[in-house]
Amino acid sequence: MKKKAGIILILILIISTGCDDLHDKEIFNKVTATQETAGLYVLSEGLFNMNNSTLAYYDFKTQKMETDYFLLMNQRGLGDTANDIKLYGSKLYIVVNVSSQIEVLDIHTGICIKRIPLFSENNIARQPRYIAFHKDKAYVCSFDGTVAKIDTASLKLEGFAKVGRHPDGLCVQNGKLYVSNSGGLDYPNYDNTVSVVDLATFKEIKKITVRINPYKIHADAYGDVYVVSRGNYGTIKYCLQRIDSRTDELVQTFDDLEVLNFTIEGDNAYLYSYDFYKATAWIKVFNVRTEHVERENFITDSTKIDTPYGIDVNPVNGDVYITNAYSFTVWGDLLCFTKEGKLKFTLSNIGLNPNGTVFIQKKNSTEE
Amino acid sequence: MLLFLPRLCKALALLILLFLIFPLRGAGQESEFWKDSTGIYHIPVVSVTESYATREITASIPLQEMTLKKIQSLNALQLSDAVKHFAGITVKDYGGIGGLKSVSIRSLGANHTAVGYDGITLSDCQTGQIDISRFSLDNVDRLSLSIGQNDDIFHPARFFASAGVLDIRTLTPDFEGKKSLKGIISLKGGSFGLCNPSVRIEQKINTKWCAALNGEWMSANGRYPYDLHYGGRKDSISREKRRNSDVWSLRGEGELFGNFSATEQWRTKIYFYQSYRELPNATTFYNDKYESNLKDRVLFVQSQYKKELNEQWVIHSAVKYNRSYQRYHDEASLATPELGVNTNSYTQEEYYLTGSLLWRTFDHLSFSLNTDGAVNTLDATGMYQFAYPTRYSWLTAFASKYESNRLTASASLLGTLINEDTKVGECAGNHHKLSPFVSLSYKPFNEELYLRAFYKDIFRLPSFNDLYYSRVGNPDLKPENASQLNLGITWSHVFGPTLSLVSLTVDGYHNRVSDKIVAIPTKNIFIWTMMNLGRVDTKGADFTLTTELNITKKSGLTLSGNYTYQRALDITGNEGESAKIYKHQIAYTPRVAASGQALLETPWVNLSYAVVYSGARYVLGQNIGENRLPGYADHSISANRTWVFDKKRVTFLIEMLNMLDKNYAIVKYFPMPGRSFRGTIKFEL
Repeated sequence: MKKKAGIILILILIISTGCDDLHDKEIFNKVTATQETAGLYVLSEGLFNMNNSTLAYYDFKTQKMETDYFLLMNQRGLGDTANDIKLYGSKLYIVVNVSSQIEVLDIHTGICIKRIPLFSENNIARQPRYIAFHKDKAYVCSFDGTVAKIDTASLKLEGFAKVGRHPDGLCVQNGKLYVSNSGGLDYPNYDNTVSVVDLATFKEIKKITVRINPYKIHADAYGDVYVVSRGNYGTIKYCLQRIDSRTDELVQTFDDLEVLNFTIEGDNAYLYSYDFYKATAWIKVFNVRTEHVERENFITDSTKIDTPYGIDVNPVNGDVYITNAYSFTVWGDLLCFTKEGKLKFTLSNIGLNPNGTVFIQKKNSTEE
Repeated sequence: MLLFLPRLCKALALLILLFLIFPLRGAGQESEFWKDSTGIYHIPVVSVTESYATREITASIPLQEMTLKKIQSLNALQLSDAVKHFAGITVKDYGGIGGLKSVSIRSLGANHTAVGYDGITLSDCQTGQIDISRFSLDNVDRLSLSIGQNDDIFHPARFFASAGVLDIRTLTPDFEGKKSLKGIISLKGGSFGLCNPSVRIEQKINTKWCAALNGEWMSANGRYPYDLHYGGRKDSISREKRRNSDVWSLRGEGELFGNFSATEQWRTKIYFYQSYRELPNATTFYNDKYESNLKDRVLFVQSQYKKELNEQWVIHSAVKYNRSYQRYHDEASLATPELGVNTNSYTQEEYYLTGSLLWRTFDHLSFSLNTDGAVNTLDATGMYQFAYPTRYSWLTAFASKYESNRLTASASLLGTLINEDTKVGECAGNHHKLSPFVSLSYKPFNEELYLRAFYKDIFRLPSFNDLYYSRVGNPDLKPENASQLNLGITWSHVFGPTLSLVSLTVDGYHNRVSDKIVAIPTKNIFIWTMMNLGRVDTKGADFTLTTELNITKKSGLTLSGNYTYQRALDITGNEGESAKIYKHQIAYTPRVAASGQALLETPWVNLSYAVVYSGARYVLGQNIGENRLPGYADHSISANRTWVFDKKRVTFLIEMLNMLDKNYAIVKYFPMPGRSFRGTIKFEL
C-alpha cells in the first residue's frame, strides 16, 4: 500500500517537473534595405520599475539585429527608463531617468566610457530627462529643476544651473540654453515657462511664459526656438509655439497644430500629434523658413502608425524614422520613411517603448 | 430616496447592533457551535464530526482546508505563507513582511477572490483586492479555500459573489473541565530583526458567556541581502541589502461569545490593526535612493447572531462597521512641497448588514435566502478633483441544496444591485446582474470515489481606483465577467492501520474572462487609464494528494502535495497590436506550480518540511525572453517539541526558511528573502 502511494507521489513529481511548456515565442526582425548609413542605434525606455531600457543596434551590412547591444558590450543593463539618446563627436550619450545616470559610450564599440550618476547633495535622484550640446559641453536637464553642465572631453560635472519646475526638454540657440519647465510632477499645477540660461555665465536670465506643461523644444537655423506645450490633456490642448531668440519673446502660438512631439532637420520640422483618448495620430511637415505647414499628411502611402513615440531624421538622406509603441506594454517597431513619406522598411520588435534613433554613418562620413 | 439610503442603513445597522449587543434571552447548554461552519446548522446525512479530508473529497466544488496542525507544519509566519500551499492559487508577493500580497485563484486575478474573516467578508472598495500581508497566523485556527463557492448554502450573500473564497477562521475558546481561564503567550524572533510577541487570554464568564482577548506586535527591519543581477552572459552580480524596509504592526482583537443553547449563539468581535511600513522600491539599477512609506489603521466591529428556530428553520444575522485609513508618503518625491503632492491619504468606511434564512424541508432538500446590504465610502486628501465616491450595494442569493448518500447537488442565483454616487465629477452608472451557479457531486460506487462538476457565472465590479482615481479612473467601466467550469474526480481510501488515509483530487477547469479591466496609457505614458479590453481563456488542472501513515502507535507521517497546470491565454484579438500577445500566457501566471509538505510526528520531536514551487512566468503580456522571470523552489524545514507540565504546555519551534538560499523574486525586481531562521517559544497556561 505504501508502494502505491509512493508511485503516485513519484508520478506527480515527474509531471510537475516535466510539464512546464511555457516557452519564449520567437520574434523576427526583418529588413532588406541597404543604404549609405552603416547602422542604427535605437533606444527603448522600457517600463518604470522594470530595469528594461535597451539599446538596439542594427547593422545594415550584415542585416543583423542586436536587441540589447548595450548589455552585450557592457555586460550590464542600461537601467530604468532611458529617455534620451544623442550622438556628439565620437560619443553616444544616453540619459537614464529613473536610474538617474548618464551613460557615455564609444560610438563605434558601444562600450561605456563613463557612467555619470546624478544625485543631489541630499542624495536624492535628480532624474535627468534630456540632453543638448554646445561647443565642448553637454547640458542635461533633470526633474529636480536643474541643468547640469558636463565637459565632453573630461566627462566631469562642472556645475548646475537652477531653472523652473520639472524641466522636460532643452535646446541651444544663439548662445543661450532654452529649457522647458513642465511642472508635470505638480499636477494639476503645471509650470508654464521656458527658462533662458546664458551659457557664458551659466545662469538663468529670463523666464518666458508659454502655454502650460511645455515639453519638446528645438532650435531652427533662423534664430527661432520651437516648443510644444501639452496643456492639461483635457480642456487645454497641445500646441506648437515659436520663440524669437533675439528678443526672447514668445512670438507665435499655432493653436491649430496640436503637436505632441517633433524634430527639425534643415527647413523641415516633422510634427506629430497623438490623442491618447481616441488613440488617433497625425504626422505633418512644417517649413520653419516659411513658418507654414507644408504637407498635411507626411505619410503618402497606406501605412498606419498606432502610437508614434519617437521621431528622428537621418541627416544623410533625409529619411524619417518613426517608432510605434502600440499599447506601451508590447515591443514596438521602428518604421523608416523616405522624405516623400513612403514606407521604406520596418524593424519589428525593436524594444519596449522605443523613443529615439541615432544614425551611424559609414566610416568616411563619421570621421570629423 | 438615495439620499436617505446611507442614513437609513446606518440607523438600521445601529438598531441591529443594539439588538445583538443586548440579546434578550438565552438558556441551555454550552456548545462548540462556532468551531466549525458545518456546525452552524445540522443537515441530515453530513455529520459534524467528519474529518476535513473527507469534506475535501465529498465537496461538489474544489475545497481545500488547512487545520491548525497543518498550518503549523508549513513553516509559515504570515497568512500568505500558508496560502501559497493551496492548489490553483497564485500569490503576488512583493517580498518581505511588509510587501503587498494578493491572492489570485486560477489566474482570474486578485479582484475575483473574496476573503472571509470569521464568517464575514473583508472588503476594500478602493483597490478591489485584499492585501493579505496584514494577517499573521497567530490566532488562526483554520483556513479554507473554496473555488466557485462553498456548497454550504447558508452564508452571507457576499460569499456567493466571487470566483472563490479564502476563509479565515480564528481560534474560539474551548474550556476543558473546570478551567475557566486560559492563556497563551508566545514570542517569535528571527532573522532581519523579526520580533513578534503575542498574547491571548480566554475567560469563561459563566455557562453561557465567554470572552477572548488577543494582542500581537510584529516588527522587523527587513534588511535582507539579495543578489542584483545586471544581466548579460557574463552577468555582473552585486550583493545588496534591502533598504527602506522597516515595518511594525500592532493587532488587537477582543471577542465576546454567547452560547445560549445548542441552537442559539451570538458572537461579537472588535478588531484593531495599525502598521507602519517602509516601502522598499523595485531594485532599480544604479539608484537605491527611495524613501516612501505607508501607514495603515483598520478598525472593525462585527456582530453575528444565529438561531435554529426549529428542526426546519434557521436564521442568521450579522452587522459590521469597518474603517480603514491609509497614508502614503514619499520623502524622495521631486514634487514641489507647496504645490505638488508627496503625501496621499485615504479613508474607507463600510456599513454592512446581512441576514440569512435556511429552510430544511423534506428529507434531503434545503433552501436558503441570504441578503446583504452595504454602504462603502472613500475619502481622500492630497488628491486633485477627488470623486469622493459612495457605493450602495444590495446582494441577494437564493440557493438550494439536495443531499443524499450518493448525490449532492446545489444551485444558486445571486442578484446584485449596485448604485454609485460621487461628490465631484462623473459617477459610474448603476449595475444590476444575475449570477447563476450549479454544482453536482455523485458517488457511483460504494467506494469513497466522487465525480463532481460546477459551473459559475460571476463578475467583479470595477474598484474605486479603476473608476475614479485621479486622471487614471474611467467611470464608464463595466464589470469584468468570469465564467468557471470545473470537472473533477475525488477519491479517498483507508488502507489499514498503517496507511491510514490516501486522498486524491483531480480537477480540470475552463475559465473565461471577458471585459477584463486592464490599464492602458491615455494622456501620456505616465498616466494610465482603465479600460474593459481584455479577454482571457484559461484551461487548467489541479491535483492534490494527501497520505497519512502510522509508523508506530505514537508516530505518524503525513505527506501531501499539489500540482497545478494552467494555460491562461490572452485572446483579446489577433489583429493589430493585440496580435503581439495573442495566445500568450498572461503576465505573472506560471504554467505549472506545485507545493509539497511532509510532517513527521514522533513522541520526541515533530519535524516538518515544506516546499513551494513555481514555474517560469512573464512579467508582461508578451512571452519573450526579455520578459521572462525564472521559476523557483522555496524549501523550508522545522522542528518542534511540546512539553506538558501540570496541564500547562510549553512548545519550542525552530524553523529554517528558504534553506537552499535561493535568490528569487515573485514580482520582478522585488527580491524575496534568502535563507533565514526563526525561533518560537509558546506557553499555554
